[in-house]
Amino acid sequence: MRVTQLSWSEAAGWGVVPTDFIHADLVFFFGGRQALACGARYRELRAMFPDAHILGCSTGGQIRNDDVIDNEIAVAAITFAATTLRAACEQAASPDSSRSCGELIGKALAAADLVGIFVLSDGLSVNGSELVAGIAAAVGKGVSVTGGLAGDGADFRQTLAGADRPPHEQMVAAVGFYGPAIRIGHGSAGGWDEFGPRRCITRSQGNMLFEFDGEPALDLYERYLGDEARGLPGSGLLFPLRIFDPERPDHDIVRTILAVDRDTRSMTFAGDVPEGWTAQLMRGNFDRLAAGAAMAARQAAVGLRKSHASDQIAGDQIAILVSCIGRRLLMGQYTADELEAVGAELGPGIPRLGFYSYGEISPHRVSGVCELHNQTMTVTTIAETLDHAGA
Amino acid sequence: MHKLLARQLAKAAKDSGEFDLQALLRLVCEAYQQSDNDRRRTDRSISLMIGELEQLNHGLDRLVQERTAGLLQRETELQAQNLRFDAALENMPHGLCMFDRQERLIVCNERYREMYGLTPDQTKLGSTIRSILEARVATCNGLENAETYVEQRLAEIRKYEPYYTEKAMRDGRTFAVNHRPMRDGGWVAIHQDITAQRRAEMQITYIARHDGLTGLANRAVLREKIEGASARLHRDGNPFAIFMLDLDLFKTVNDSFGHPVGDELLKLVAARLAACVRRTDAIARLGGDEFAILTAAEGDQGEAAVAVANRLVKAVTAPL
Repeated sequence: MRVTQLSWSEAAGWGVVPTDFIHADLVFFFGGRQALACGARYRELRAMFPDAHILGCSTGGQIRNDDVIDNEIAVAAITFAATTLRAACEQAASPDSSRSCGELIGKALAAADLVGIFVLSDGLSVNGSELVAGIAAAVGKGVSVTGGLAGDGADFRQTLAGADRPPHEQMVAAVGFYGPAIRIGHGSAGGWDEFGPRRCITRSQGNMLFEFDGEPALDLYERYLGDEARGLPGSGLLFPLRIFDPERPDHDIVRTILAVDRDTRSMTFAGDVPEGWTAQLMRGNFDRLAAGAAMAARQAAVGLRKSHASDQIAGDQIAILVSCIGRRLLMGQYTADELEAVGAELGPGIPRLGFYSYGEISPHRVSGVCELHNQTMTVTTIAETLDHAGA
Repeated sequence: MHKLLARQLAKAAKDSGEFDLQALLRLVCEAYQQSDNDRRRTDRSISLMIGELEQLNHGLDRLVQERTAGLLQRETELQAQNLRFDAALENMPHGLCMFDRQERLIVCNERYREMYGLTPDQTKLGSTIRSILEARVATCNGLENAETYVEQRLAEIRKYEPYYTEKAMRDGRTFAVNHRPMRDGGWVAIHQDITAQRRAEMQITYIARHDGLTGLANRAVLREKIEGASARLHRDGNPFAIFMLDLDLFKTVNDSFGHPVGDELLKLVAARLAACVRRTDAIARLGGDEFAILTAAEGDQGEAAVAVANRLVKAVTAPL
């Protein structure tokens, strides 16, 4: 497997594509919504990589190695030695259709030798929990599903995603990796600190939250945010919500806010917030968030090695980083800390590409069940092995 | 150099190697602003959290106080209930014992100890049913093999089914045991001394079937005997004879010597009649001076009956 990274900026355009990557098999590209919306960048990539499956989405900031960049499109082109790929792209018009959309994606990619799926989804019109549940149900256990929900900076207006077509809103794109040579590691961690009392979710519907302990949830957030409540829903990301089933307290999930409705005093989250579950506010400390990112990288690196103890990785590896926009909003100029922490954990020579998202997809660290996470750093490592890659 | 400043300088650097001072200042100001925002946010959230936690603590304190008061009240009620239960237990006429699922004694009243002659040491809480059964056998149970008895009782108990049994004691008393399993795997047993009850029942049965003056069978018993003899006759062809007699001028005896003498005469006649027949035959007083005798016939029925009749007449007519 070989990997190269490219970038595009308004001023400089595309960099030079190495000639040996013209026949790349897979291209990931991440950029700001405005840079991707016209479709021109996708068409240019298609012309540069005629044989590749091309997946991309809009973001809340692109990750390229240790840097987070806003004014460039970050790209990685990958050539596989022995792995086959299949891409799928489906429309998800509303949160209600998320599960069926996931099932369509899963059915399109399901195969006996399917090892993993990487998903890029619209970040605003999709219930990520349902989407992932639909995919997982269709492909069965043993297939890792990772990826993330597209972002739109701190605007929360429109998100774009696509596979083998220009990125578009209300779309879900995915690529499946097949064959004995492919190795996929994954890790997901937050590093947020819980604080304050635990609250009971007394009224909710799907991913819409109405009340904690009988009090409108939005009242609580506005009280904690003070003047910053004007910046909702974006500023709501500063206080992520940890939720868990009281009967399974070790299976906690962090949710991030996507929208607020001041008339109904409700809040919309990227995934389900089930009634009867326990919720607790969280706040971030830069050092611990960076430590969380390092832990995600460690899990992904260990997972890649552990998949087959005797494996020898052939050629390059790549790490796809999907981190929550909330982390970036909180960490500001310290955001690079978490990217450096991931880099230090993975070691030198592993290119890292990714984006700041509205939701991250990865197997749960405890249960192994693929699901939507929020406010985490999620790392997916991809490599091929020597024996099967024929290198 | 602080890593953040190093990053800011790197971002503000131009390709020419010079710094974009405006860009650098903007980055530095942003960082200060972010730091201020984070500090204010932290202060605010900690202050709110403390308020919320204090409110929760007050609520918890109230709840603990209410629960404590409730528990104290409940404890007082339970103590009173226990006193009443103990009083009822110790004053009940029956013996009561209760065992847990490990077959260990958890409740036992004084009456139970009295009935079986057990000492407090033999019935201290936690004693096994086996040790108590063995002690009962030693003190007052019947004459059965002790080991067999204990094993049979244990087998019965371990069926975890309700049962009722009556048991004769070595000293003639009769105890009834009502055994009821409990949902937790243990059981409760009520032991009742039914000796007097059984004796009274036997007495009543005797009175109902015998003539109070002579001790002979009464009319009802005679009817049963006749029905039984008739059945045997039809079934096996065994014949029988019935003799009916009364005492001539008996009324004169009563009128001349008084009823006490008449009663004595009836008792003498009854004794003489009884001496004339076999123990398997039946003699009944039908009332007044009327008697009936039922005998199983042997050999020639007619001759046998005449012989018995002669013996009866001879016995009754002998001088008193």
